[in-house]
Amino acid sequence: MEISQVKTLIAISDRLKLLVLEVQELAILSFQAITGMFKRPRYLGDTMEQMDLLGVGSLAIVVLTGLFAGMAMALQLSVELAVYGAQIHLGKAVTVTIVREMGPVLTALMVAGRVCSGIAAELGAMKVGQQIDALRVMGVDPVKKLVIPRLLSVLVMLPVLTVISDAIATLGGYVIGVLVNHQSSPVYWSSVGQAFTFKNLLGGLIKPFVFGFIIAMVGCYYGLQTIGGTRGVGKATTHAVVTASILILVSNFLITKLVISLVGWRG
Amino acid sequence: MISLENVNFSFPDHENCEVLADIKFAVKQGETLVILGESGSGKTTILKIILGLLKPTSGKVFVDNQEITQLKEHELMKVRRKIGMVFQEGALFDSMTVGENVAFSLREQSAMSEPEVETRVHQVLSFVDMEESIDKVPDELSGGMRRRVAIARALASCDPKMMLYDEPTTGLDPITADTICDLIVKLRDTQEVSSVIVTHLLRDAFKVGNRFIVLHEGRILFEGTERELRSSTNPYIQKFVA
Repeated sequence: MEISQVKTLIAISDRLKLLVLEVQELAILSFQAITGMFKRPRYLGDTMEQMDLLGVGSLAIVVLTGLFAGMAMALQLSVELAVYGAQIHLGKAVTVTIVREMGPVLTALMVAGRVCSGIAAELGAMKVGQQIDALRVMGVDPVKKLVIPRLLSVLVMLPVLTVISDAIATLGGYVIGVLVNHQSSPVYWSSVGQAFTFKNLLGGLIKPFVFGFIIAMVGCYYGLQTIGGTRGVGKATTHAVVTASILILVSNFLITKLVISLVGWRG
Repeated sequence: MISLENVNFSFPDHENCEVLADIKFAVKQGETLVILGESGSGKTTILKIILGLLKPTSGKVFVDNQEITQLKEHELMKVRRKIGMVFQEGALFDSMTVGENVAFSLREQSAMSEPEVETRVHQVLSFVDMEESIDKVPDELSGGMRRRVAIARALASCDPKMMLYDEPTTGLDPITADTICDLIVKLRDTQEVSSVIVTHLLRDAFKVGNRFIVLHEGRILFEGTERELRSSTNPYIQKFVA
């Protein structure tokens, strides 16, 4: 084996070791956060503040995302449904797509871009400014004070934001189906109603909790691991958003597969 | 009050590179020990080891006669409450006002009522002559003011008998540095606080220190009084003191 090949193998091995270490540390932080939720002290005030900052603050982008995703979906589907003369199913088609897949994933990705980066940047700046050490010196557990309020707030607010996004996307479908394509309003809403089945809602409501956990924990992990001054904060923020987005897409596939295995394909 | 016995330290991912080697010293009550050394010599690492923020690779650390090396994080929290720490840039919480920063540990850790917290905050801010800045945020403060608030925050929690200062005067103009040095001396003289001060500034070190350690490449090169330090024949120390 040539020296260059050996060097490449060593580099790959080091990178894999680092990846395993990151997964291990993220798992430990997640475990500490989950077990810490049931222990005192509880920072209810901080949690409420984070709900406002992370949740309510994300409302505008989630509404816009839902509206335009729903409208684009309705435009595409109305063309395809017209081929089979099935335009009356537009509401159902839009709602199923949104509730099962697009709503949770798009909302999570938008919130990841805004919230995950925000968490990583804030905690990263605190880390490089020695504020995390200052907390520990004063006998305050950073996981309880910083991580758990953020985790709880995203776990509560992301499902709420997803439901809002789903509703707005359905309205977006209405705008295209009824106001542009002149479909009857009662037909559209009746078709939408058919999509609200247990199987459709199950996956759509499980996903935001999993995605919320990913967004909060990945943001906190990269924030607390930040080293190297302001440049380090930038790197932590980028890594957090990229990692969270990939994990959201991967876990979306796995949850979809799991739900289909458990309750079947058809809504 | 604080003692280190044969402490060695290297970072887990750089095990071959020793940051500290065979460090041993003790700080008595009311004494101010100054650790001198150039940047990267391991001075701040010693403070972090005393606080339990870093665990030594080997050796023992005693704080208030309690060995802390093997303590778990929640046990260390109790030990840390006995020690006040002033970080290099103050490490004030930038989302809080000066008053909130100083009151932080009182609200978190003590059973004080809100009026008692307010009284204590005013008391310690007046000690460092920063009472008029109580509603300012850290961004509105100069470097010296931040250090003074950091000292007030360290004092507020529990009247600590041990204080650690990480480069308390670095980056400050001489007049402001003198104010910080005066505060450190005032604390030592009025409250018998034991202090460990890490710095590379000799002028300030000689103003506040009783005893001095010179650290070079993670090892103690010298330990003694100001007179002994000035008369040392070691070429590195001669160069450092010159």
